[in-house]
Amino acid sequence: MLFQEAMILIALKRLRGERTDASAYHLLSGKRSSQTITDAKWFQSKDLFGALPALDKPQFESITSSFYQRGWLEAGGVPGAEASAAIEPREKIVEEAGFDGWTYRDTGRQFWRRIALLIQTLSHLYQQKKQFVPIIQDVAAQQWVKRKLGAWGPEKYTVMTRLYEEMTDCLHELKEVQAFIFAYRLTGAETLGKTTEQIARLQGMEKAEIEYLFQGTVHALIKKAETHPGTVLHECLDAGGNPQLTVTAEKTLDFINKGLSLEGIAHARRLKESTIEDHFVEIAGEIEGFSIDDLVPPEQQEAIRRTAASLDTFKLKALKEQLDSDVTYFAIRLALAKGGEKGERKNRSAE
Amino acid sequence: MSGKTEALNKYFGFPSLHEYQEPIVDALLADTDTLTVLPTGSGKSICFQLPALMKSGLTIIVSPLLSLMDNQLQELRARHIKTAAAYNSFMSPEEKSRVLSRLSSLKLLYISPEALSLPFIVERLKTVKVSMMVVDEAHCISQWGHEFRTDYLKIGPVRQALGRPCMAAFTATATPEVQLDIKKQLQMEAPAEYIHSVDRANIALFVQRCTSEREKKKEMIQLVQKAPGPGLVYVSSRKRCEELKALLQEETSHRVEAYHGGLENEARLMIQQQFLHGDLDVVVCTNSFGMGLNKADVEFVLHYHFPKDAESYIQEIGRAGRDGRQAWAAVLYMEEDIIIPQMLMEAELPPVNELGSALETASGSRRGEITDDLINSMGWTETAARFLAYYLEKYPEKPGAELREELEKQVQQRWFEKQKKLKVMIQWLENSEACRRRLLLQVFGEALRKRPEPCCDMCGHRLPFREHQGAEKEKETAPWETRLQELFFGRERAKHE
Ligand SMILES: Nc1ncnc2c1ncn2[C@@H]1O[C@H](COP(=O)(O)OP(=O)(O)O)[C@@H](O)[C@H]1O
Ligand SMILES: [Mg+2]
Ligand SMILES: [Zn+2]
Repeated sequence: MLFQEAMILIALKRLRGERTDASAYHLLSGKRSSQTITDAKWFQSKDLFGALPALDKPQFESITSSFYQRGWLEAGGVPGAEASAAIEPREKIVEEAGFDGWTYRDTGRQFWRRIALLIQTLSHLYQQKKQFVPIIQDVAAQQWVKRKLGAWGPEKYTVMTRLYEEMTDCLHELKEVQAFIFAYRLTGAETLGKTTEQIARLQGMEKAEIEYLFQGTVHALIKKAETHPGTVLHECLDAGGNPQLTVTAEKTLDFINKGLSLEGIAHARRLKESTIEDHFVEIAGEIEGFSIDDLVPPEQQEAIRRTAASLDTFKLKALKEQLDSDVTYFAIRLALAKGGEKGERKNRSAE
Repeated sequence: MSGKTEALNKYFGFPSLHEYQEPIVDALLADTDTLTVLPTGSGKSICFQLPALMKSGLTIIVSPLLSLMDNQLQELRARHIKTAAAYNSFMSPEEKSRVLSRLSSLKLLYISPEALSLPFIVERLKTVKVSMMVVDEAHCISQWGHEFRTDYLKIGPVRQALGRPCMAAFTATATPEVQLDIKKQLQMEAPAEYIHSVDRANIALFVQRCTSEREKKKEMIQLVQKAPGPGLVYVSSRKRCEELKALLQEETSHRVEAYHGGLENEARLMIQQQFLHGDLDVVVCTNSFGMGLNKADVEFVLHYHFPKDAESYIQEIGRAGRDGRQAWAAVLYMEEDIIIPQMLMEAELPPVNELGSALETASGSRRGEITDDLINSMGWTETAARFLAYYLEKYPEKPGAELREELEKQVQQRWFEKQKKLKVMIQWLENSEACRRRLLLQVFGEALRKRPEPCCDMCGHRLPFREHQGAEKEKETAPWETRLQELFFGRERAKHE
């Protein structure tokens, strides 16, 4: 089975038939919408968010429809027994790869550019080769490396050795193949990096899977770096992680901070109230200090979470039917967004 | 040592100028307008970079392609020349304003022709001393040239606005017709001219006629397998690029990769670097590859699809044999392939039946956004959109119906010219009697003075394959730990640890 086919089945399995098939597509292709972001969170599927960035809708649809025909997908969009068995090895890979596109997609891109350019530059300096074409063209990364080198001054070779040791340690903790991919993507003074496709050929694997594992390695390195201040890898991060909001939700947050009500924001932004509600849900899930107590009384929040846990579902309709009639859909979504992370899931081992 | 040589050593680390570079540099140091036609790879950039660095004031370099700008800037940066910068529409607003704020400390400003025609840019440029204007790839300025770009036509007026600084035009391929046009458009009355032959005596020329796609593929595999490389295989589309790459990987023992606009930036750069450093033997590419790429030891350029005119052909085969060693160029020619350049040419012009709705779209566009709007809402190519935008600006007062008529006339005219050039290319390919070199030179108004050996298939010569070196190709399966060590500390140290 192709990597992308397996990933689609894994996504559908996680969604447990509680969302449309298209939600799986949005999740895998990594479209940043309020709904996808909350899905990624509720269904503990950050490791699928943006896992197949090149997937397009027609492709997705033709793959799922062939699965329905083969009986691998049952009505309601849940993988059957045969399909479930077939994706098991891939599920294991996904669980162990360290990929977290939901949290690290953008940071990951920046982190990689910095690391790749830093290593290329340091290795050239160390091996006394001055002229080279930077493998990373991004101006921000180039300026960052320049600043760092200036700050380290003559210490830079010590820093380089430390970075080498840190990376060796980190890579040792990962799967062999992931360490291989990462090491071969990098460019040094004497050794040019390989493209994802070239590595895929060396490993006899698919390009999409190599790319996923590569990103997973980057995300794992960031996770490590975040918890280890004082390391060189930590210095490659930006100070103060910024929450991952869509641009439009970010604007709504500005208005919230100015003290506007939901209706007031909708009016000011000339957007529908339901759209602003989506933003609230996104913000509630993303910003820890954002309290929803004014919108949903705490005891109602509790009731919603309890019901979700006992029914073991995130299906809004099912929850709404169980709860008091004065509990709105908006309240349910808010409460789940806030509490979604803590909610244990039964059919999947915790990370 | 002369001041020139000293500066050359200091900035570029070269011991001396090539003989043909000397008079050009001298002329520019003396503020003389110049027109230079020199083959690709002969070192045109230095001819203007060196005087620019030596003169006081700013030199503006108009460059048609972003990748060309990038390449030259990178080379300058690698040489630690910090007084150079670029300005183009792909830069962020912050980057742009950073460049503008340091204009007075710059020596070289690479700029796209669109940017140069913006009124506020011209105003900014007026505030500094512009000592020289350079037009690189100047054939783009001529409607007879193979990459005609309408926004190049504004360079002349800008020169006027900046107080007529010294003007220098450079190109690798210009027929006498194009040379005349360049001089006229750039308002150069009596420039010093340095016109060198387009002939590259060390590149042997071959055309192989094929009757089917299958035969072409077979021929390609055979040629590539026999040649040690490094070499380039030119094809017309991304899809074909990938397909032929896979075929060559399968059927030859070479290390082959594809290069085209569909690749991600990082991958594109990596493949270019791998080729440059000898980690690859063959690159299958579209014509976006090789622009500004300086690899001296290319053995062959193989055209799986032929280009749309002789100028492009000369430009593309010029990537072979820059080190002076024997090299070869071959075209696999199949009659049916004519449809490919024809389709490309068609896409480069506005479709006549869409002119009406395009004019409507354009009338709702803001100034300066016409091109983008046409690309986005009409699905036109950039070249086609630019064509229309240019004429709209040129005739702001013309009433709709008249304008449309004028445009139709212009489109027809361009189509006719392009067809004519394609026909010349085809005739050259179909020729089965005369020396190919002589015919090719004829297109550029040149006579063949001395026939090299080997010359071409018509002269009865065989493909001059280089010797295969027995050197073993690097095995890529070193464990990652070793690889990482090499990356940081180099091979030597990694070996000892
Ligand atoms: N005088 C010189 N001595 C040695 N190398 C030179 C000299 N002039 C140019 N070169 C090198 O020749 C190569 C081709 O130069 P370039 O300006 O890109 O050629 P062109 O623009 O004519 O195609 C570059 O690598 C350049 O550094
Ligand atoms: Mg050049
Ligand atoms: Zn001949």
